[in-house]
Amino acid sequence: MQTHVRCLVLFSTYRDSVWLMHLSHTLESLPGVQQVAVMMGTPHNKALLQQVGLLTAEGETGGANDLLVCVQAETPTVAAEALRQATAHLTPQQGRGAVADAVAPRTLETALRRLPDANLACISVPGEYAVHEARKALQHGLHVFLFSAHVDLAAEVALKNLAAQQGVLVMGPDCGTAVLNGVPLGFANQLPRGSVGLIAASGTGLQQVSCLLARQGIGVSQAIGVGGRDVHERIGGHSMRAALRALAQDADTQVLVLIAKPPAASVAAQLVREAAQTGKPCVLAFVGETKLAAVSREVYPAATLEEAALLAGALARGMTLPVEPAALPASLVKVAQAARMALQPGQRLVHALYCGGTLAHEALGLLRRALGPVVSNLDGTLGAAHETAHVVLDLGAEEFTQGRPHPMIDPSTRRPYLIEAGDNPEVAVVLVDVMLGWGAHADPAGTLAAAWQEAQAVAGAAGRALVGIAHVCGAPDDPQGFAQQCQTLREHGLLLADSNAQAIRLASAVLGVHAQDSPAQRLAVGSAATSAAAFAQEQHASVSLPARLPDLFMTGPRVVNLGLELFATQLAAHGVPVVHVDWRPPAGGDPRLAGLLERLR
Amino acid sequence: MLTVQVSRWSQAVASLLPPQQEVIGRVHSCYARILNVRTPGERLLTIQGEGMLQAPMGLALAADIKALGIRLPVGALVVQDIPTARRSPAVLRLRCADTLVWDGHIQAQPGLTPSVLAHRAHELAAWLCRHAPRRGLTPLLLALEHGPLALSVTSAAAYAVLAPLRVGRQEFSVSTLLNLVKALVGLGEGLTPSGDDFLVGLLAVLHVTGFLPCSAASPVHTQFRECVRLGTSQLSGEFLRCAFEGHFAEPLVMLVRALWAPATDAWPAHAATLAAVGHSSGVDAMVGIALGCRLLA
Repeated sequence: MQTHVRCLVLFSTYRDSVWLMHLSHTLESLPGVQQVAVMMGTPHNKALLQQVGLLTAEGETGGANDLLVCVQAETPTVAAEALRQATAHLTPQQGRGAVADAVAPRTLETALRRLPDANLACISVPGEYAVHEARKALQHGLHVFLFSAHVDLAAEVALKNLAAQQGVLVMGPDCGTAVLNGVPLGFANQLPRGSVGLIAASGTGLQQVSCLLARQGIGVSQAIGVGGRDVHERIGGHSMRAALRALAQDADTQVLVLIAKPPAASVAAQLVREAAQTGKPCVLAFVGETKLAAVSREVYPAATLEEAALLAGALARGMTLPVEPAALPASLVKVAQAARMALQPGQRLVHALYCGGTLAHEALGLLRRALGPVVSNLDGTLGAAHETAHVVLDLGAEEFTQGRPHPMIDPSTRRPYLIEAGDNPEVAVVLVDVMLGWGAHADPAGTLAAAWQEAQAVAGAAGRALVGIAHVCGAPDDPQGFAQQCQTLREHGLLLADSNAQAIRLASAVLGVHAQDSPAQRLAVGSAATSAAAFAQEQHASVSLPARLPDLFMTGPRVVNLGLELFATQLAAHGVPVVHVDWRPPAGGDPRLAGLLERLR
Repeated sequence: MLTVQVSRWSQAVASLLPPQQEVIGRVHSCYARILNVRTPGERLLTIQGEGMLQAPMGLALAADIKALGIRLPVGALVVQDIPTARRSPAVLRLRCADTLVWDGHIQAQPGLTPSVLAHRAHELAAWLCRHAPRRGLTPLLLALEHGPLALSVTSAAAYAVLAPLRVGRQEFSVSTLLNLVKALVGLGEGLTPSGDDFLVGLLAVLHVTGFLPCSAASPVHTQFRECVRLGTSQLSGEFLRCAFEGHFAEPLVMLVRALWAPATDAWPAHAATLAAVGHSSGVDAMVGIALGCRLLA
């Protein structure tokens, strides 16, 4: 008799024993099903399942907190049908929250009838439709969190002008994160409330600074993402400057931090001037090589995201600002020395494999400063010779994510590159980031640890040791459990750095290079860099305070969500009033017909 | 957002949640009539409706969870209903003032001689064979006497671990315990695998006989926790961790106390209550008690 075994892994799924037995009996009663096991995926249970021939490679991936449903059937179709029924059994009970309880509205307008006092639209529909939905939301007087990317520059300008007329703020497009009144939007960390207000044209930059603050015990008043392109010359920092005006007036915000990948020079200069006018201390973390003009004693340029967090932390506590160059603590110096001893003579390269775009950007700048030439997909320098060069890869870039989720959601994207590094006789150090927070993978450290073991095995088989340096970008209260994630990485032999910048210093130390961020450089940035006057002729149009933004800060978000239901679930988990729109492309996705319909309105 | 009064909680929970602590934790899992909440210190609290506390870290609400319609997403914030937590974006606020505390700690009882233990082991095994002969690990009791016939895969695996102890008759030691934990943790069906439930029962016997406690800082405790962390789910691991520290679910405590109470006829009612817990959790814990008594006798 033929048998076919299939396993379903239901990650982090808990059901009471009676339910599990009921499922087991239900599946066993299906015609053609020969054997069923429904068990938690503990090591002993997997061994048992292996012993009785019920464990497949798929089942192997389950862990102790995952539910395994293993079916042996006469045909593959029967086995597949049994697993489909198992999934169907699970779905109605799964904790999707109040969001899923009612029949979802199909349009923004219907959603607004359900939640008439909504003040924010969270939009994550495909880019070609996002502008239309964002425009509608703005016309209804809603602030917009625009997660969607692929919005053209002209449309972005138009949306931001409309937002200004309506007295609201557009966060995005391509805005990955924000924390409003303690409520995380998009990919955001669980941050304590406090007195630091963050505005960022960089998602992972915001996450890095806010998490480092959280780990100092310092909270944020508001963390506002504005999308990476907001600091483009044509946009002129519109949303960042509008948010800056709002936080300048916000009584709960005592310290400001502006974060961006390199802004256009004129935008940077304008931001410096307007930051100085807020009357509040303002830290500027413009990752990369931008030279800033410090026009006020209250504006503090930071060389790294780590330094931005240290400066903001000191300012929030009213403490003396750090002046010593950031250096590796003695414990990590020893660790680096020990790791270096284990390397073979030819091992000389760093391969940095990042999920976070801004972190990759920062790493590229710092590694070039410490080690010399580094190739990367970030600036088109990645070529065929990357195997013999230091490398920084932003795995969240479009070329790596086509047809698959962003590595923050699916960190297994990194696996082949880790194994490739293990196989490369010149690679000494692999640098990785682990992104925690809402929206991110449930166990990124576990996924990384598994791939890291494979990479080490490959290197070990060739008689080499491979040094893995990880930095966990997370806050203590993140849903994945910051401490647990760190412990997992440590247990699998990865060295842990507190920040991205420290990870670079540690990697450099392993290679025998002394790298440190100089505060002199920061001060020089302030005194000798391009003068604000140089851009006096290039002032961007003035931006006024969005009239409805203080109310958003005061009362918190009430949200209409279009696109990823995950975001609505996350908001519901924070007690936020939210209506999820069961969004479909207008006119069945036919752009010509959609255009005609639009003109009829 | 919902505010609910907690009517009763275990001593273990009370000591973990001082009145001024804002955040209780985040929803870890939610099923049937139970809500599990993970605290910032990585402990798991079990929130239920009125009735016996089904977990050592249990809180009973003044209303049934299902009736309240509590179906919270994983990760949702749960706070104490105190003024300082007013701004927390929580979905559930628990009013914990004036909550009754139930002491679920099993302490050593004097006078438990080997013969007393052997007698109770025999009585409990007989009760299980009569009232729950096919459930959970009960067949193991007969197998250890008469040989491993027609055992389920889980029971056969447990038999392979326990049979040598019966034959060897060596003194029960800390290393015996750790070896049993390594061999049985996470073994078998159920949300709390049968092996874990068995170990909870065994640990209850070790506490009542004074074999435990070990201090929380002891190497044994550390090794135990490590085995549990690597070997089973967080939820079941919490039950085991509590059991090692002497805290148990209410039905099990009631049975253990009744087994060695002066009035010896009360325990069968408590055994029936415990046997009704889960699909086989209660039965497996009782098998652990029975075999634990035998091993220590």
